[in-house]
Amino acid sequence: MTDVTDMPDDDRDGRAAEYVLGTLPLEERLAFEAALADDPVLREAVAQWSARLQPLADSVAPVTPPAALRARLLAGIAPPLPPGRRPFNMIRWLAWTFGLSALAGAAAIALVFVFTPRPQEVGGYALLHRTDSAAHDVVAFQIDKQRRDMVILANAVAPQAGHDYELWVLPPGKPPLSLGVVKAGAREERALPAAAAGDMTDFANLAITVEPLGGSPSGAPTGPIVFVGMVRLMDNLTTTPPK
Amino acid sequence: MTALETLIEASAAGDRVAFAALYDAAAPQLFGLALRILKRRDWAEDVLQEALLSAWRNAGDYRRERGSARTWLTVILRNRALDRLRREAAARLADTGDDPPDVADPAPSALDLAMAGDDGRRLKTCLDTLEETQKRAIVMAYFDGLTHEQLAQRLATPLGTVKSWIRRGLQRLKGCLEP
Repeated sequence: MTDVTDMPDDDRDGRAAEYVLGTLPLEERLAFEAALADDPVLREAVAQWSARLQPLADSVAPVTPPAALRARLLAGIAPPLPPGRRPFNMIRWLAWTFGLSALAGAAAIALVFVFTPRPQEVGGYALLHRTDSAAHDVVAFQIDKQRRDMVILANAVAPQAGHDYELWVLPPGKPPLSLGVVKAGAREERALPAAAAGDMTDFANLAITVEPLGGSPSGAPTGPIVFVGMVRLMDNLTTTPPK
Repeated sequence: MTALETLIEASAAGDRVAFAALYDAAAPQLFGLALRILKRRDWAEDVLQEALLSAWRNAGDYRRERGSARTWLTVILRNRALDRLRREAAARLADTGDDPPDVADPAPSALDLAMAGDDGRRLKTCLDTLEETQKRAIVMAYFDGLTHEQLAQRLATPLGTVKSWIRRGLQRLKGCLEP
């Protein structure tokens, strides 16, 4: 067997392709991985081939794994909590990641400052993702344990002029209930509508629609859904979503 | 699904909540792929768990500029799945001295792939420019985790021929994807 480091470039790229495809027998696979460790050009070839073949992986139909696997896995990664530490730092990581990806310099520092957690305990959260594009827009939603207050951080581009985003909870068997208008790019802290507190269950669906300025005049959603997400309650994090 | 990258970066910072969200977003696709490659539910469950645990431990190695989060996760999953297949095959050979039994494939490697999105359509178009033998060998290798030698057996074709189908097919694929 020829050592991959001694091969001409075309052969090296071909070898990387075979490695990614997975046709190398075990000992050649291991030898290739050993060569990979200190060969950035070869690593780049592997990265490119992995990206080229990725649509094959995406073409497979998803299958929900057993709930026990999720519980086992999440229990397995539990770090011992230092005494007195808050068990939840999502707001900090949101500030951190959005700070890195969407904002620069002083703005990021300001955001981290604004996001210093409030003393009350977080009861649940949701991340809402755009349904219509691969943009990195995310709306983060958080409620406190008593389900009285909510915090909304909309890391999103604004809707077309003359429109607002409106957030809804979609309780099963009941009409959507408005949680109010959401301003793009803003962080807002306000009371959760009292009528919605009972609907903030684990896996409750949230959606954001595009509505006329000030929100839907009828109290029911009228525009297209642009973000969707699911509430996760902190006490239930090791359970898996219903089918 | 967007923002897998964000969730991996948060996992790297030790955030279990982000990791749970990553699991919910990514695990079903990865499990589907594991089942497709391994054909056995028990192995697929083991491999999925190993792969995601590895993703949690190595989340700090992920870099956006080196590729998408989906690809990063797929690579981890497929490497684990291939290791499992190679190990099981080696164990069977050591046990009996026979060729590994041919495992029935519940989802035969269909050549009519459902590939969505711009990248998917581009890859499908390019796969369709290959000779049928090249395309079948590549698709079978990807989804069934077969080595050159196993493919040669499966296709009842000499090893050298199968190697060249794959090598030439992959070269042509690359040329087609990056004209």
